[in-house]
Amino acid sequence: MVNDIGSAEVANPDRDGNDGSARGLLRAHVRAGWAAALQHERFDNDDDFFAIGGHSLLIAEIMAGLGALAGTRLSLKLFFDHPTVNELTDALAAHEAFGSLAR
Amino acid sequence: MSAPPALSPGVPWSVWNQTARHFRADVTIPDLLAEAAERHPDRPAIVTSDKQVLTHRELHRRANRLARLLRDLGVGRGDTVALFGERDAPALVGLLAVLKCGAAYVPIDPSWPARRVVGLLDQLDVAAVLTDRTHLRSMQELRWQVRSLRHVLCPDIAEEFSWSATFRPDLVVNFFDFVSSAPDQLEAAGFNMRRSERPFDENDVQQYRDHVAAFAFAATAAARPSILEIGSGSGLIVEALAPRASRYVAVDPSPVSVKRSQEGGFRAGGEVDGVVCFAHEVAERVQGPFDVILLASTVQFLPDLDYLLSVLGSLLGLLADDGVIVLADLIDPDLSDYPGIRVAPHFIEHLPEFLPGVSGASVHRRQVETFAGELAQRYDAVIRVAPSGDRPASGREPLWTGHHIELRPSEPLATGPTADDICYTIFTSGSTGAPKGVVVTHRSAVNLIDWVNRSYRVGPTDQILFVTSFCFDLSVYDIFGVLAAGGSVRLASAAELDEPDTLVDLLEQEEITIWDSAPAALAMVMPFVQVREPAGRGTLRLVLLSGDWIPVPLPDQIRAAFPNAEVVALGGATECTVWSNHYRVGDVDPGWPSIPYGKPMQNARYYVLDHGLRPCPYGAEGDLYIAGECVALGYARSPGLTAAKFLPDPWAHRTGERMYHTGDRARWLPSGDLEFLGRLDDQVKVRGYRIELGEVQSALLQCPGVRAASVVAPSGPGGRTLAAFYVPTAEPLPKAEVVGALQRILPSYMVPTRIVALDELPLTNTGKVDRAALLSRL
Repeated sequence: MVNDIGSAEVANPDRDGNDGSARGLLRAHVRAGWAAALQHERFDNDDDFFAIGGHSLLIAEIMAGLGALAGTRLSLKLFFDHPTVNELTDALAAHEAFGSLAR
Repeated sequence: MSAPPALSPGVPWSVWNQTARHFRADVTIPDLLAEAAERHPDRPAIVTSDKQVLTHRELHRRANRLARLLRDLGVGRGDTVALFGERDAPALVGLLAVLKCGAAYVPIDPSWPARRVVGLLDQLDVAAVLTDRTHLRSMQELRWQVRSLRHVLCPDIAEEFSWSATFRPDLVVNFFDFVSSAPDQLEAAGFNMRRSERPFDENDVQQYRDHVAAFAFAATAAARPSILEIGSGSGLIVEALAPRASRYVAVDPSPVSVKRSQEGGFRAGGEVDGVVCFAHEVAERVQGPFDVILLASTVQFLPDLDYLLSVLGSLLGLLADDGVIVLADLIDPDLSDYPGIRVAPHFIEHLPEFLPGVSGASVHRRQVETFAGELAQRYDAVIRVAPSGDRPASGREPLWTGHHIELRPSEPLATGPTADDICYTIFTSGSTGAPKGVVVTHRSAVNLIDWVNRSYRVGPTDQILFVTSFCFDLSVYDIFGVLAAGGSVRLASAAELDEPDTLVDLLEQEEITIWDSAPAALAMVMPFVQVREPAGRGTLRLVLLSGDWIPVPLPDQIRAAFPNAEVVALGGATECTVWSNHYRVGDVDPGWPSIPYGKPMQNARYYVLDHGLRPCPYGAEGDLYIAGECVALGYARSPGLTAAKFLPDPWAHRTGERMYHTGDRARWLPSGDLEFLGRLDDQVKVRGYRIELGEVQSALLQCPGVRAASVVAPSGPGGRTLAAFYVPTAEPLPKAEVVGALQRILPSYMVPTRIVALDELPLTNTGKVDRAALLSRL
């Protein structure tokens, strides 16, 4: 399984910071990608991915999924440079392809 | 061992181990590649990311030239040559050249910590190192610590000297003219040119000047010494020394600097001759003898260490009999990440060994209380010479570059290695903390190549995407196997490897027919394959996966994306020459716990034995042993360890054959395939890397301030990761410090991603570290 983005779980993102804003929705997508890869949701939006059991293989799953969501290519480096849910959300929001999702 | 237990007809492995097959047991890897070059001279052999193509004929010829240089340098059968560089075309040429000259190669990853690199080179008594422009500086810094290392070769530098290609005299002069013209006295003296933790102030500079002056006078017996200063800059040191010198010559490439030095010396009451030239021109431009030749804060601005060495050699003739060369303000690579030339204290201490005429060289650390900040970490050195009668011209071996290689003919050497000679040594993790070098002969490698190329019909139209490190033994097949078939190696660059999307582009847009990697490397790419619209996925025909558990769904994902791809699971051990069993993955039952291990390859035998080395009953779990042509010679320089793991083979076909105790648990399945059931010990695979938890633990215990430590490898989605627990001695010890210390000992893939500090390690009733309790702390 590549990713669960687009599943029912993601369709109703309502926890951990989704305040209904566009940024909140994007954050919920990022969280859902993390949760699908890690197979758990026991992490905060400021947790470092590697400290909660993450590794490069899972990053590939997450970034392939998020890239597909916005119809763009995402560099793995973007994740390594922004290894928390909040940082990754902000980095993606600054990405052109995510404009419609984040604003 | 007396009569081995009979293999009863009911034990199927007696049948499945009937793998004997003729192969060319007397040829070597260079023989196979030379034949390929004969058969397919104009077919591509190496293709790079910028679409440069080297044909088989060109590869052969280039390797012949380098092999001849190596042979001229006395490198041949019985010697080991290290490869320390990028995964690029010159490196592939280099590997072939090493084998052609008769020597064996050992791949050393330049990203490994310097300490590890030195240890491994030393362990193997490496005679020569092949490196490249990018990694030359690191090699120059550490080569002096390896006693056996006679030659460093850098084929991708075309010029005769390492520094001449990048040396721009006009820029150097302009730069130092500019510096010396600075109105600020400190800046003019070269201080505060780059941002350091705290800027140098006038006190620092005065302290520095007084220290250098006192040091220079202490180094010489002459009351009023004659002094030659190279790199006199704005004249800071001139002012302190010239009034007490019988003669003073200030040299600098910058006319502005020389003028300022002369003015400064005059103001201080001394007489100063000025000479505008570079350090390597001094011996021709200046007449000796001198009591002191001083390079103060100059060495870090020179082009590189080889330049320094040739300059030092040329200066010896300018010294009086009891004269000294003083090198002040040297930067130790262990203490600073300064981007200019850093000089390891070992370099100084070993100078008498490789610079004829030098009788002694000493390192002088500074008193920390005398200096503040950065300057306290620098050090000074004194070089003394033998009386002039015993001072031959510099006889040191230079760095060998592409220039020297091009001078050799491209015809093959008349002699090369034999099939019994060592082909390569590849290091794997060792449980006691020291990596183990697995030593493999040409014959074992040729058997492997013969088998893979025949079984999977690898031929001249095949192209492999080479994604693996040379330090992984898969690379042995990727390079030599595919080239022996007349096929080509498409080198994926570091940049291409960093982005899976780029690798998908290559698979879709280029003529790549073979993928070979650990499952994790392909599993990184598959998510990107799956979210993209297919565009040209018919070329890939063979996917070889090995080195770790294969995720059960992965083969079907691959075949769905690449309709013509056959997926093959391969296994074995580095100790048994890359692979020694294979399983053509057909229909996969999603309920399987794992993809089967498969059957032994040609001339390999797999035994599942009990503790008494008796064959286990059919279907029963036991210890896996591997025997046959694939078995390695053993571990480099470790006879004890070799004897413990490589045992006499009771079912040997020839006398003296051994079987390797893999440490794997396994059983035979009804299909005649082997099933892998885990490990006996603490060896784990993390993203395809074979790691002994004991090696990581041993590194943790070497970290200052760590009293106790334990390492676990929890399984999670997508595989295992490393997690470490440590108990500090007394003071709280920040995680970042532990990570930093580990990074100086271990390659990055061995540094745990999670590190947890504990007050005590949890113990079981029997007093052992309770790993289950540790896992629950994550």
